[in-house]
Amino acid sequence: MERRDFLKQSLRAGLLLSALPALGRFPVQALAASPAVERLRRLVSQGDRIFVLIQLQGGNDGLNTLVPVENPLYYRARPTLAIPKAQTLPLTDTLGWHPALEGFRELYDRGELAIVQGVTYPNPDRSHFRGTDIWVTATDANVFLGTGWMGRYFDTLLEELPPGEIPPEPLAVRIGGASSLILQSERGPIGISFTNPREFYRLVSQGSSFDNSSVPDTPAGEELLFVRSVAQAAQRYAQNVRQAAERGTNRVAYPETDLGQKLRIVAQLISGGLGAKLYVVGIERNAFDTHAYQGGITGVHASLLRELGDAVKAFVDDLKALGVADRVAGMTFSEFGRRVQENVTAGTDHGTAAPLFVFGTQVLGGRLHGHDPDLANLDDRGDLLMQYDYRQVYAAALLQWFGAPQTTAQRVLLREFSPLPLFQPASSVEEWQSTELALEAFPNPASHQVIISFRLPESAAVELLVLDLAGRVVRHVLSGDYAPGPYRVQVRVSDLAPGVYLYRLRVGRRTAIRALQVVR
Amino acid sequence: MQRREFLSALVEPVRQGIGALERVLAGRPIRVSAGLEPYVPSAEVPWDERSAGHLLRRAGFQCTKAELDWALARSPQEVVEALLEELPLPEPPGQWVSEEPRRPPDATLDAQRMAELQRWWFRLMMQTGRSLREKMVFFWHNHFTTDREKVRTPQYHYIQHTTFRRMVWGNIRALTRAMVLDPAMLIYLDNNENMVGAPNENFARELLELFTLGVGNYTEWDVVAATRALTGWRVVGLRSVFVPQRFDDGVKTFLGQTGRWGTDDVIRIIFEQPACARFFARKLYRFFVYAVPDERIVEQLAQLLVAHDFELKPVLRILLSSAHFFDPQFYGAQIKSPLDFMVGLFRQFGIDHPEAPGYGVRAAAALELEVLNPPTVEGWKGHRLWITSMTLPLRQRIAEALIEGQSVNGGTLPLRVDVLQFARQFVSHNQARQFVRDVARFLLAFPLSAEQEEGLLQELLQGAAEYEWSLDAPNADARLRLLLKAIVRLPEYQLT
Repeated sequence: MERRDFLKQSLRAGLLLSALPALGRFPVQALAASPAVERLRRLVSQGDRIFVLIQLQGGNDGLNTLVPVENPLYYRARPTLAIPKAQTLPLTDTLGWHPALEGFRELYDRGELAIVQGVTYPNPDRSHFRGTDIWVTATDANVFLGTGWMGRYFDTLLEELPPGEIPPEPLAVRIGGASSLILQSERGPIGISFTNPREFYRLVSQGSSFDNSSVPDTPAGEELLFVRSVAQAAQRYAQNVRQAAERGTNRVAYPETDLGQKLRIVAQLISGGLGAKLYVVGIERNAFDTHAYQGGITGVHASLLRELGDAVKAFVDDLKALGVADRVAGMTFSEFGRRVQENVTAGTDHGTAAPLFVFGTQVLGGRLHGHDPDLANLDDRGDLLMQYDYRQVYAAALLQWFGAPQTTAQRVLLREFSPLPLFQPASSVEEWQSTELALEAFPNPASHQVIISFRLPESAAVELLVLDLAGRVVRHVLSGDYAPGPYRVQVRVSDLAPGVYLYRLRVGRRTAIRALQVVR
Repeated sequence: MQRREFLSALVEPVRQGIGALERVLAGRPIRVSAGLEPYVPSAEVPWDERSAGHLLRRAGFQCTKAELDWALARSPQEVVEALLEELPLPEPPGQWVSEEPRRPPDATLDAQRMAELQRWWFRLMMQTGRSLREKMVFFWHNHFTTDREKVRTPQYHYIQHTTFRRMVWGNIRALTRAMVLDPAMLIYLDNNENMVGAPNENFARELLELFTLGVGNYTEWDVVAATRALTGWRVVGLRSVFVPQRFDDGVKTFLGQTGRWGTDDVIRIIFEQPACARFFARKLYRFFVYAVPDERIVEQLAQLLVAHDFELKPVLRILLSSAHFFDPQFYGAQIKSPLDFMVGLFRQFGIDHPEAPGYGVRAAAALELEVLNPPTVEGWKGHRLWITSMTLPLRQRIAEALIEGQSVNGGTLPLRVDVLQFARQFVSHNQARQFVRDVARFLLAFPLSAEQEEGLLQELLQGAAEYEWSLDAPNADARLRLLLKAIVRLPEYQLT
């Protein structure tokens, strides 16, 4: 992005430039009363955490995912599909993992995966398309909305941005597949989608042309604006994506599956510092719609579960190896579970409630929410009853993971849902008092290099970053476990464009932020 | 804002048959006063290259310059009549279409034949210029879906496809019934497995939800009843047969009617529902006119369908020659599907190379539409979903590659636009300014501003004076390529 554009953006985002030079000489907290600084802090703290949504298209069969191994009703309802207890991987006294889910089992045992049983919503819809729309728009079964829940969340972050403007970094990235309603906001589609970062950059960099001339007030004019906005986003973000892909890397081998490769790219982009807060991937083409011959221990469903579990496990391992795991969490979702009773073609028809999975090192993992599926009390179609509303998981993601205020969560989910305890809450940016860490930068303003010093009161995992005002990492100064004592780090700034930056020190779960001005 | 107010501002009430996505697929509903009365050319809406081009682009896959000239020499009604003319069935792609499926199947052979079938159909789309037929075949392919991943025998695809072409604007009820018995459909949605005492509701559910009525117009119990009534069909060889022992002849209550219903009753009862005519009317409207249906016109189309006992041809005739259809607000208001785009490129630029269909099938697949392989039973939702930050630049690169004769990856393409021959079709080809305007009007459904025309002119002239331009000028072909590439890169080129 051109610097001028960026300044314009910042200005429009309410960051009053005239006030900024003063920031350099004071700790950010000292100016806490200023709304501009408040917003700045919000942007930066929210730039930190990343969420990954994995869509299992077609309706995953929950009963063969987490098998109720002690329930004779399950074995009666599934004469050909049931997984024998001895074949399952132990989970609880009464539940076993599908044998293909070794990956999930290991994550769960390590405390990096949580399970929510019986997730759906009142009056569940058994249509793939309606069901998917409900999940992604986060609405009641009888409410039709044209925006997705994450799209609405982004709306709350972009309130200050004038209509037609797009943020300096793609807030959301979809890897593979068509664009999704999840990313539809009141402002239009948010973010970008591509299958391969290099391919994306190569395609875009060869040229595009669009102008911003006015269009007639007709449907065609409106469609033209839409196409232009996609062209503009592609053009603007291609460079960010390429840089992130080039800087980024992977440290573990991923399975050669569709989902495995998608998650590999996500980890690569995260490690390369792309500013996206949301990644959307999926196992597509209604693959989980196993009406016929879905298989038991082996077969179609087993290989889908293996693809899922192995890919997510590789992803979490990679994030840990890359040192970014604490910033990333994710969840699976599917439009519905499947009927308890198998059908005559050794498959299952569309059902209702099913388990979903939340993963990441900052997940309150190794926990199982809800009771085993109650096969004795089914609805009038022979389907499982609801234990949790899916929006209780979304509420947890918004409140705990993204640290959004209750009013925001309510706005996104249209009313209040009590969140399940699923994530370590977002750390506050203010917890360290300025004196505790003795964090400062000298000289400030700086033109060539700056020395950042701080003192650790105890041994801790430490990360020091320099960010621009969009929350983008421009310097990864250090990260790792450090002993107590004073530290001084030299950071080159000569190649940074003049302007205001932030340096952020994370010690354990707490963070301190200061401003740094670069001048020439 | 009060919570209640806030909710009512965000939440729209349930609307019959309209999914949430449909709402965001296009900007907004619009007001067009013109109705289904016949279009009569006037000073405001003259019969010219814009209106005639609109008809040809929507009824086909873009048009050639020769087709546009052909249309302009006739009245709109004559053109619509010609578009609806009955055509003989094309030669099949090979003798294999009537071969009994092999047991066990030969996967390699089947894959080859499937690819052959895809190319065969793509060629038909390229070649069937003055007819609505192939566009309507695509409509049905995207309605009564089947994919090559579940249905692997290419013969079944050919059979289904031929049914679409045979009944293309015939009776919708009869076509729907034919789909119940269609081998590809029986396999695709598991009705082949559905039998008395052992229901599989996959087909019945999609029949009601996606093929005829839409969500909200039936209950879960109607799905159960229809599932039972639709039992008995089995695929045997290349045909389907009714096996009475597999049929559930018990009493069922379906959409309020009780009896020992079977397939014919299910179809009859469905088509008695007012929602059914509306469902097809809305889908036709969105396919031919605009992504956000004008419910007033939808209602009239539904009544026409009922009045014509679901015969499609007379209703298509009325729609495509209506003042509503020809309202200039709709010109360029659709986003090209990958087929509009790829077949359209070949047709607009006169590419008719033997390798074009194969290239076109692969390119359209890269743009997320592989023929005979829809992503889900709902088909391709299309419109705005066609354009992403990946597919838009890919479209631009593909179009440039064809103009340049170089593949997206840098190699030489056997397909290349003969730009001189393309230019000679325009009488203005030696008058630079007028030529640029005429080419842009032919290639784009959306009018360009004076500044854009000026920019395109400079692409052609590359600094030379206007009077210096002629097709005999040095490097005329290179300059033409620059002009055409600049046009296909425009966001406007994605509209139709």
